[in-house]
Amino acid sequence: MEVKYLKKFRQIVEKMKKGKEGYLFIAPSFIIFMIFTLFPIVKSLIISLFEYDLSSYKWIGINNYLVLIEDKVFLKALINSFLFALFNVPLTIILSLFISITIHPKKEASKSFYRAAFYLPVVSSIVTITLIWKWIYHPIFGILNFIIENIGFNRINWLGDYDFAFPALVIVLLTISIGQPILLYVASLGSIPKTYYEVGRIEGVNRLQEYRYITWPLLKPTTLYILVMTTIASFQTFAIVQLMTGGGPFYTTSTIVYQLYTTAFDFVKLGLASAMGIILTLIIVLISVFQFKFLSTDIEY
Amino acid sequence: MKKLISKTFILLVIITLTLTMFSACGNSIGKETPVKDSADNQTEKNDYTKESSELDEKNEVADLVLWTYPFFIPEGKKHGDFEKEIIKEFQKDYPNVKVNIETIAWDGGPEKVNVAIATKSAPDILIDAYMRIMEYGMKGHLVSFNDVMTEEDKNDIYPKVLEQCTFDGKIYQYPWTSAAVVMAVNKELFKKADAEDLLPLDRPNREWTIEEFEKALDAVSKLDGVYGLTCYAGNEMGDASIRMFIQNFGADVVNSDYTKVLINDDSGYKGMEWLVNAYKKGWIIKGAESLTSSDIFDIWFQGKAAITFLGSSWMPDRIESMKKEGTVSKDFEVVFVNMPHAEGVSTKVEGQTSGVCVFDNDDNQKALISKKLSIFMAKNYHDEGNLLLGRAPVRKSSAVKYENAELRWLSGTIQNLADTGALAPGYSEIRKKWFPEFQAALTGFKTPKEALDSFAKEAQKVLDEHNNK
Repeated sequence: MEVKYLKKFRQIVEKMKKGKEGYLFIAPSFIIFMIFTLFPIVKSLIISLFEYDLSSYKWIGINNYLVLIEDKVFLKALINSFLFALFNVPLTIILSLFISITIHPKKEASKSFYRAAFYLPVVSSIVTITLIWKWIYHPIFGILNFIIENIGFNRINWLGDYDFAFPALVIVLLTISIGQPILLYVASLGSIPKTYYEVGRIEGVNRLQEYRYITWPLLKPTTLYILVMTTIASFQTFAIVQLMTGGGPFYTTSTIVYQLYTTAFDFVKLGLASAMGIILTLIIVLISVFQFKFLSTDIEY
Repeated sequence: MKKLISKTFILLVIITLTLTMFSACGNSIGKETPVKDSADNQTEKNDYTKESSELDEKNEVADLVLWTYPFFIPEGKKHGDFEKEIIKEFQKDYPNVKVNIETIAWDGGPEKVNVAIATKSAPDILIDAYMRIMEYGMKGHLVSFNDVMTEEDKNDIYPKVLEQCTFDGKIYQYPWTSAAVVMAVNKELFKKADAEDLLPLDRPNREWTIEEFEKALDAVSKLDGVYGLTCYAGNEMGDASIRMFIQNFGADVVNSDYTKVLINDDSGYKGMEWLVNAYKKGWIIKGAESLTSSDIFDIWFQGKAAITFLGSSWMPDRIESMKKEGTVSKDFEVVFVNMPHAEGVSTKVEGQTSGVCVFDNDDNQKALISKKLSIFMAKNYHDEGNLLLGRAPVRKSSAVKYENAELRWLSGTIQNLADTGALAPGYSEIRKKWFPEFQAALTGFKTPKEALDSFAKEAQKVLDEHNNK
């Protein structure tokens, strides 16, 4: 038995020796991945099985997960995270595609201007962006209330009203989310050979059919990438919640990551926070697998 | 090849898992590591040998790390400069003690300290407010000052202040400054409303009843575009002031041994109902449910509200500078008053002390020098520190006398501090439960009674959890 394993081990070593250049090339990113991604995930998984504060460890098995299942605030945050993804992802794709198609035919100079303008929120500090939005939404001094009051409507407490707080945050999230997709879509649109459209025109297709049968299918790989990345980012919504609403009013805008942050760093319940992190990881992995499995079947042209 | 890669990956994962288990939990996996018993450990830890305490100061060698929030900012200087100057003086007696100062931000600072404690990289000394310091002390992360404080020293500190620094007989915070948090009034607006005489300024304690307060709010709210009172429920900052308003109806937040939440009694309900009704009547500024404690100052400075919570000693100076900049009305005049109280209830004042604490980093010698430096800072520079902040002295022997009548009155209120419950175990978690419930009450999602009951229930849960640890 021992000899069998030894033999197998030797075979593995031999094979690794043969492909050593390849392994050397992937080594830096693999090491970084191990240290900064895999290691924290594994460690979180372990910590999630402990009652762990700053001064003690206590093995409690899956108790942290059981606590979370019964925690109404966490469940509310979980639903909110799904809702953020549900609204933000399609809106991001639709809006960024629309903007990209609109700016793509323009001259290079104006195309660059629009790309830069829409990409600005991506490279700007999220703190700055949220502070500006906070002022826009301010119930007393906010420009939005100033405008709607001047056109004859009542002031709205955008971040304090149950009906408006969540949509208000989705809008902010959207402004941050669309920059990168626009850049990707414009680049992808530029890489579609013009001959396809020429053939289409010879065949007599109209503009709508061009988008339906040429542009959209050829943009599918980009769309899949945007879909996965925006879904992940939506589930990780934190800064705008922390800076604009603190999860309020009455947990209406609270998200898993916001709950995770307060549980870990305010309440110092690291075991419980790790359990939240593991649940979030599982959700993101499952959704990403689903997206890849069902949306990446016909992307080859 | 695919098989080989997946096998290698599994092997690496197993190795990582194993290493992680060892590194994460050491030998404590599977058994509970007892929380440091502050009382027992302290006796042992603070039993500094005669030899060490009698060491020649010149020969004491230490590399200390001091973290401070941006409390002291002398005019024309940077954060940390004030502390650096004090340390230079200290180093005249202790030339071999090096101190590395780091200023941490208010926003995110507490989290940074928590992470430092968790990763065993806490500073030696921290300058902070008492509620956080005492929480570190209760959890066994600090050394106490009991062994280095003389009776004379203790007697020189106001008893209410010393109470905020003490838990289970251990003094974890060496107090430096204190600040009463009362109500600040824009007197200019009351003059405009011809309602100046409704303010309790001619009374020595500036106390007033709820009925008198209502009359004042009603009168000043009649001014165009002016609300009577600011309020906030956007986050947990400044939450103790709102609860202190309710406490002035006769309620207590918790009992004296921090085992039971008491705020949801009849007087507590009355207080909460009053706030919600005042909001409905338009006395309290619209949008309070999403405003934070920092938002309300802008509203108040701009004359959109006449009275604000969180009136504190920094205001008179700030208003004078803002007048020079032209960002507030040139006639803006700030006066401080106590919170109104219900009939038969004596006025309760919210206040907090700030000071210095020393972390238990398993080095008795370092802890002793850290304590000496802490006392050197907070005692020898007590008056300078307070004058810099416009705060109230914590020592009876202080020579601080403010020229500004408002600051003089404010510094006198520090002797009447009421318990905000800030020393209750799990207080930082309890306060996070407050603002969602207050939001629910202000928006009508819950009745005031339901919201207060819900807060009390959640707070009790936290209290029980921490008390049973």
